[in-house]
Amino acid sequence: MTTATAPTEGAPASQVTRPVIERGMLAWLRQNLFRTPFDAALTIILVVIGGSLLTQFLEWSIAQADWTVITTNFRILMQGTYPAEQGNRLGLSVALITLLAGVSWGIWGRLFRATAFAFVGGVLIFVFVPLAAESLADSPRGTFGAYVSGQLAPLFSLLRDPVLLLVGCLLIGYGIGCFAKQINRKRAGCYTLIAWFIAIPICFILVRGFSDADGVLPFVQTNRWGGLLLTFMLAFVAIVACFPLGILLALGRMSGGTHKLAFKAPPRWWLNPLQWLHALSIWWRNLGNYPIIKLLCIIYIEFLRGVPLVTVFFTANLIVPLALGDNSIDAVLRAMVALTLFEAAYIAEIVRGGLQALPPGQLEAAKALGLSPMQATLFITLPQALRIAIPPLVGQFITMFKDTSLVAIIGLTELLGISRAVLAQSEFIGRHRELYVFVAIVYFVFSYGMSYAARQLESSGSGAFRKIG
Amino acid sequence: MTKRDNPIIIVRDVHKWYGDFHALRGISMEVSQGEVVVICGPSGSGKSTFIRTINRLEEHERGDIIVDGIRLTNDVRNIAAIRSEIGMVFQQFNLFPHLTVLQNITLAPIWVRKRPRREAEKIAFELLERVKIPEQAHKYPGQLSGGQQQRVAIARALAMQPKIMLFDEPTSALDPEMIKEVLDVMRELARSGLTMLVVTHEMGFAREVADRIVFFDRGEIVEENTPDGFFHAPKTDRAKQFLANILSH
Repeated sequence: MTTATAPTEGAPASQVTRPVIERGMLAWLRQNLFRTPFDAALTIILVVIGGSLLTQFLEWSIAQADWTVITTNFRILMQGTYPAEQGNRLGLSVALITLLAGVSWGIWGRLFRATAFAFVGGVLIFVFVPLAAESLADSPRGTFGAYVSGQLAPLFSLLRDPVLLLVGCLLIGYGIGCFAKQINRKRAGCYTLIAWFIAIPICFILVRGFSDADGVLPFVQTNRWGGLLLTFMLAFVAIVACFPLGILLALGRMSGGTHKLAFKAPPRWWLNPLQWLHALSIWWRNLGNYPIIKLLCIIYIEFLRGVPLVTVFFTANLIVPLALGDNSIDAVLRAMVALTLFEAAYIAEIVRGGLQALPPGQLEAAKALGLSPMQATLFITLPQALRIAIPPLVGQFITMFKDTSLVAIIGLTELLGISRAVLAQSEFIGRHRELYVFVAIVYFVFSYGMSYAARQLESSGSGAFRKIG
Repeated sequence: MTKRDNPIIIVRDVHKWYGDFHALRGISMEVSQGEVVVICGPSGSGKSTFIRTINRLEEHERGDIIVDGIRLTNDVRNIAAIRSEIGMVFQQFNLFPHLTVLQNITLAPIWVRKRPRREAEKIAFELLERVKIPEQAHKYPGQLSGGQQQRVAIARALAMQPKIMLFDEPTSALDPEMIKEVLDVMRELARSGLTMLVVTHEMGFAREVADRIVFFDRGEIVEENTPDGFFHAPKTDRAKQFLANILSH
């Protein structure tokens, strides 16, 4: 047209080419790290600080650290004082759960190339470092070779079997999941969910046992659970139990009408007791159709959110046996109950946030179709609210997983508690760094796994098409 | 008119307040079986509030509403019975984004009417055919255009085989190009003899399809008239002014 000012004026649109964007490493560096002098300064400062921290850490971890504290205590860190000869039961449970996780991943998720490379690379390191150690075995003392063969090789060969077991089960499961998806996606998903519901109690029975000492699965008392096993058991039971409880609390708090009556306060109403009653009645009516349930939910949520988790653990540990007049409820169960009740309050608030984020039209449409309040909640509002709430929910689950470390205060020896017990032994005094680095890595691996799984869940299925938010 | 002899909706002196704001001030009207009533009026005049009181998405505070012989009260069973007889189409479609088009349509027939799934799906496909989008059955609402979504919403409401359909500004959130496809479906419904209450600003549609036009202003019915009478010889000054404003642009 006559008013066009672009340099391609007059050329037919099919011949106009897209402007070329600079590509390549240098262009990327210039655009992202050195765009302005300020950017350049920031980049350099951060590289210097980060680089020095990293080199110091690497130097320490591959030249100075003494990892025997982990190799010697590995079993106790993983399973506490769980009978060593029964360790296979734990291995079997872990294999079962990872296999199922792999199947679910195969059905609902995607394996990204980067993740696959990370797996393969990790496995290779764990396989080859111990092999390399043999050839370095007669290196002179004080050299890097001697350090690898003396320190790193035992650590890696110790970790090799568990890592291979985990990754192997995960990948085999992934393969099965992908294969099942090809055949019938819907049915595969259904069966996997059923399998989860069966597998969880099976694992619990496997770990706990039920028969006498010479039976098939000898009973193992919970006070012999420890280390990572106890961490998992606490987190797992609490997550599974607090989720439905939290949803019920959220629904309780959201129950009743949305129409609020306003209290129109006449001047100096506080001098008139009749007005007090009026204000009270309006407040009561604003609680909706189920005022007592709603009030109880609010009190429960606000109270438990207002106290620290540690106090809840203490309370559960000291007051529950007093109140029940029965000291026989074991400490692990007390901790599980405390964690569940505490976290349910947080889950409730997260779910309530999800419910409030829904446009009101969703509930209106459900009502207008004649769905009952229960049906509208189950089919319409709750599924959408939970999907919105996946990121904060997973954040809360990860927090729960890490919060289990607080049970050390009531004398349970989960991963962190048992680390402190290990450090109290005279031969390992001063080996904090090695042990805590190891513990941190273990926590990180599982927390990151959860958050990775959640991101896959978020982007799967109808969630990708949601139009909310 | 012979149609008037058989009222399916009777509204008597209905009032509603929002806080201090008197939103509905004594509305009375009757709607006969098979009648198409268009409700129009300036924004904030209470027309949406009024049709939402008919399936009790809003509660009226005074007066009586009797739908199909059932008086609207706080009784939960009454409300459920009435809602399943009344279909509603919203301005913002309000489709369920986590369900496919087919699931959106079959949900209520399966769970409220207790129809077998197969039968409900058969009806759903017939309805999608009727609103001219059978090929979209397995998509999610977010993948459809606004006009298509609104037609799915109409099909969803029809799947309950309601006696009455309420339309709350069904074309106000649509692009101009898509308004026609929704109005075409509504025209076809009107011809099929369904009782319809339509809140709309589409005056061409009103003139063509309505049996009666009800003009709301400030929470009151200012004028009830035939379409011809309303557009050519409005009885009240406020209706004249409204028509002048709306037809001048």
